[in-house]
Amino acid sequence: MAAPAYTELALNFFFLLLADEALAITAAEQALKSFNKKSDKPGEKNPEVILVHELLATYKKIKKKLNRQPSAVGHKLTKSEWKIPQPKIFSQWKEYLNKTDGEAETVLILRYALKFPTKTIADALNLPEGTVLFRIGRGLEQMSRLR
Amino acid sequence: MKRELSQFFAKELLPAYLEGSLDKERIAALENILSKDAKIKSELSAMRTQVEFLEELSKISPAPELIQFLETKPEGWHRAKEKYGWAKWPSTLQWASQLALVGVLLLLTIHFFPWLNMARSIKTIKPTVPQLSSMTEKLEPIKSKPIYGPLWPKDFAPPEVYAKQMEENSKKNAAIADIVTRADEESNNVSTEEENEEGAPGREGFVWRGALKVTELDEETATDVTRQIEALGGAKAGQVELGWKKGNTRYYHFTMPLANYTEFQGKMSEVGTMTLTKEKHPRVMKPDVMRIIMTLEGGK
Repeated sequence: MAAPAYTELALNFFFLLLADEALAITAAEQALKSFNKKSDKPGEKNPEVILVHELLATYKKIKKKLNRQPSAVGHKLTKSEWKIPQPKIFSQWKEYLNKTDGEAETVLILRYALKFPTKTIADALNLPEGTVLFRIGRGLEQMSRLR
Repeated sequence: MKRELSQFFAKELLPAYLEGSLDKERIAALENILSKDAKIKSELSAMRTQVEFLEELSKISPAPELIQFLETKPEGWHRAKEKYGWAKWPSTLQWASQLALVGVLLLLTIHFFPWLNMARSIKTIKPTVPQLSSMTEKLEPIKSKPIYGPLWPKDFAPPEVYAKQMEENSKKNAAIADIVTRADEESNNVSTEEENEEGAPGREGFVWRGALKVTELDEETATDVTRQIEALGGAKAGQVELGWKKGNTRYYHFTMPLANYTEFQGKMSEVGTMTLTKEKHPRVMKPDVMRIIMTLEGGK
């Protein structure tokens, strides 16, 4: 079973990128399931790297599925499961998400909202750290432009 | 003198600067350009604003109950077991499924269990094969092959073999009829010895054997042939009457005055095609009497 911190990270990652609680729970379940399978194997790399890798892979799958069949995924929720201290900021974020395809934001969320080190993100993506920094720069630039 | 950073490179270094991952030299070079270039400075400021905004998002968190729920939620097989396990079934469904299982097992046992073989091995039942002691040839043993479904009796050979055996049996029956005919002739032979001694001691005996073939063999033709033979002084020689029905043919075994033979030939040629062969025979008839064994056959 994933540590509570990882569960929280997974839930937040999907909630911030999908801006939908039900979808976020479904996606987090899937990602954590794959993470548990892979992290249980002996000799595997840093669990944080595995987690980031699984978060990104599941996000890609969910996006693909949503493009095909928007109502195919997600739990049915009756009440909100997230605590949002500043709803204004979150609504601004949602507005921004509507303007983008959600690709550039994955790295930004991982780095600044979930506080993963650049090195971990680079390892999970199997890219040099410089490339990740480049993507962060492009993402921030895009945000400045669109927000 | 060190070269100044270009605007392009300075822009590229901004994320790393924000991260604090630049070395002292580059930091100095970048800060130098930031102090001079307002555009780069404003870009850095805009990036900082976005980073602060994103850091605000990190304060959003899921409810602890949700985290706990996902932590304790069973996965895969355990999840299915918990959801659809036997204990979760209603008692009526449990009973019904048990009964259905027993029923299926019972049906399978009844259908597939080799009850007959078991009964045979217990009681040593032997399949009855028809015995034809009068025949020299024996029928081929019938091998049962119970692969033709439940309706085909297990004691019988497979359908195509069975049909062949039935055909052979009918041939055997015809052979038996032939044996009866020959026995009829033999019975005459036994009585010939007296005649041999009385009628013609030391002489050779003969029999005319053959067939009269007609286009269509019906009752009328057979009666006509019989009547003509009798008219020419023919009298039955064996144990069966003239024109005895033997399968699809008629059987004539008779004696007739030798003087009438030419007339007999003429009469028979009007009815059909007659072929008679004179054969040696142990039975010796009187010199003016001839013995004929002839079959009347249809399909000339």
